[in-house]
Amino acid sequence: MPQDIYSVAALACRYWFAFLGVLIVWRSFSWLRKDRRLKHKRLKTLPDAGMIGELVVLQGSDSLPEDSFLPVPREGVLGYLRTCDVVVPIDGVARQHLDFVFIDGQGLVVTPRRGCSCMVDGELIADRRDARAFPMRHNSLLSVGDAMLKLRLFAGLDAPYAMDYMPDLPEQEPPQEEAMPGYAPPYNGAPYPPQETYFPPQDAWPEPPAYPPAPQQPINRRYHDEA
Amino acid sequence: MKRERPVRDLGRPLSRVVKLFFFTAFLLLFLRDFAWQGLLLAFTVPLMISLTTDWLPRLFPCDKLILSLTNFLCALGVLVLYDTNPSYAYHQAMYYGVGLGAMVICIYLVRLIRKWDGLVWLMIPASLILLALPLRIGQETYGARNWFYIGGLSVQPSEIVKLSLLIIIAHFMSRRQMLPWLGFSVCCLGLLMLQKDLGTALLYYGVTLLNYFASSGNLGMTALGLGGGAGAAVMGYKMFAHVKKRVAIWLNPFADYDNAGYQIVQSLMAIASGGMLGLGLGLGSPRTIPVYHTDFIFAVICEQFGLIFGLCVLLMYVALIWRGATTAMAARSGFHGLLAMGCTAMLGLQTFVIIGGVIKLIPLTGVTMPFVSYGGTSLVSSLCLIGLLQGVESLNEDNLEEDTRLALLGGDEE
Repeated sequence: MPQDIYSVAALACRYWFAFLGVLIVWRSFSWLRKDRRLKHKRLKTLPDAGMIGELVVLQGSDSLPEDSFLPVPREGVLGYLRTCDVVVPIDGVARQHLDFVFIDGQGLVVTPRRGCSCMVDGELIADRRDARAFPMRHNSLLSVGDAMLKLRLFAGLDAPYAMDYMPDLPEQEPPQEEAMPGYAPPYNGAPYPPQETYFPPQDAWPEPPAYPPAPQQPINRRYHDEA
Repeated sequence: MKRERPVRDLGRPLSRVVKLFFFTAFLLLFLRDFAWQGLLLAFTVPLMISLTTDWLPRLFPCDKLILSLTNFLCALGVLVLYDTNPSYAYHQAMYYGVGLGAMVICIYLVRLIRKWDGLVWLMIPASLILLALPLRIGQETYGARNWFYIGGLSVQPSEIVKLSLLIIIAHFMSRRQMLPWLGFSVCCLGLLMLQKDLGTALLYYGVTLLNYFASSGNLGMTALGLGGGAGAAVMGYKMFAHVKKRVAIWLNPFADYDNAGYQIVQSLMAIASGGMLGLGLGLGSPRTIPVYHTDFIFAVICEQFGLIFGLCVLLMYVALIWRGATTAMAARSGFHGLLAMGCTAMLGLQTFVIIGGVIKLIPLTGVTMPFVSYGGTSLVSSLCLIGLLQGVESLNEDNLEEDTRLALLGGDEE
């Protein structure tokens, strides 16, 4: 193409390229904005997304009342500081007291930082070796400073070791020879270990045994409560 | 009953605009001299963009915005190089294809490898040996001895070690093991100082410090590290003559405009002569800028496409960094979060250092403009960074899908 004609074409195309450049940037940023909204909306419907469980406060303070709960991510830091992943504003808790990580097949491993300690189910945890030896499981108790916290796990319930998370159930009576079929004890929570049908003696049908409270449905309980 | 609006795929329109841009640009260059290579690139570059942005997300969840912007920047490099020096453009296009393959491998690595322990301990000595090689068999270019040639190919090991640095520091920082990452970073910095590759040393240092802050939140130690870095910079200024020279050029390039300050002066003049809309693709005289194909490619872009377009390119980097930071914050494990943060910080810092140098905001250091500058190792390693980032994003997407599935499952059981 002759140089003059090419120059005119190139000069005209400047506007086209600038327009396309601006269009790409505009589209990119509007995409970022829309995605942010979408993600926010999605996470609103999944409040427990990324959480493996919660710590229920059994013994707290004014700033952290009893029966309140603290969501627990897969890994992070527990401490007094606002920037910690799990904030426990109670006397005796250091600014960054301990690191925790959820390991599939083991549970929540808590490692106190230098100069700090804690107790898991009555066992003193002072270093990494202790932490590995005593991982926290469902219903484990964590004593940190003046606080006593109980772990409720959502995660890992579909794993083979999930039975470890189940509460101890009372031993059932063996089935009688002459049994009344079709009676099973009421059980509000799931999952629970497979049970055989309970057959009370024919002459006296007792009240169903008092089972301990079943673990809450582990999956996004808060979401369903709201729903 | 209210019908739910289908979610629009925002990736497709963006990808179409990107393809249209390069099709028209290469077609225009083809019309200039009717070289068949121009026509070939007009079809192959959009095809490569299409393959990655439209077909790759079918293999695993991918962020199409990151893919579109990365492809745009890579293809922009090929376009500018084709206009200024076609032989560079063919090499760059080839490395672009290789880099895309490496990016896919990196995505798979992040998705598949669950335990990095053994691999990380292997990477440490391998990286240090690789980084030390230029001291033994390397050649000095622009005052730094950071290259070596193998089988006719020039290799810059610091670009490859960049990736292992990110993986190593993310691994050890997520486990709060300070000694290994600190030792490795110090060794890398020492080797880079011996090679006089101060630009890359600055990048390594900045990224390590940023990742340390992201992992620990320890402001005091980070400030201390920053102070140490400033001290090292002053020491570097006193020790190395070429650093002194670069600072002097930065302060007043016009004092020695036809000798030491020639690069900066030509760059500034090119940016100014481009004006708001540029001189036009294929017009102007970009080859008068020294090292127009690597360090000063941003000046060439501004000269040909104008300041508005140059600003758009900068905003594309901002969008990439924004997206990278979002990915890092959404990651479920410390390792993946720190890996994504490291990749983002590396890209952001590198872009800032080179563009800041070209526009005389900071002293010029010899690093490449990510994705755009000529250089096979640089392009492939930048695409690998994007691969690592995409891997984390894809895991995030999997986790979110899993959460949604579990929530629905819980809903059914209720």
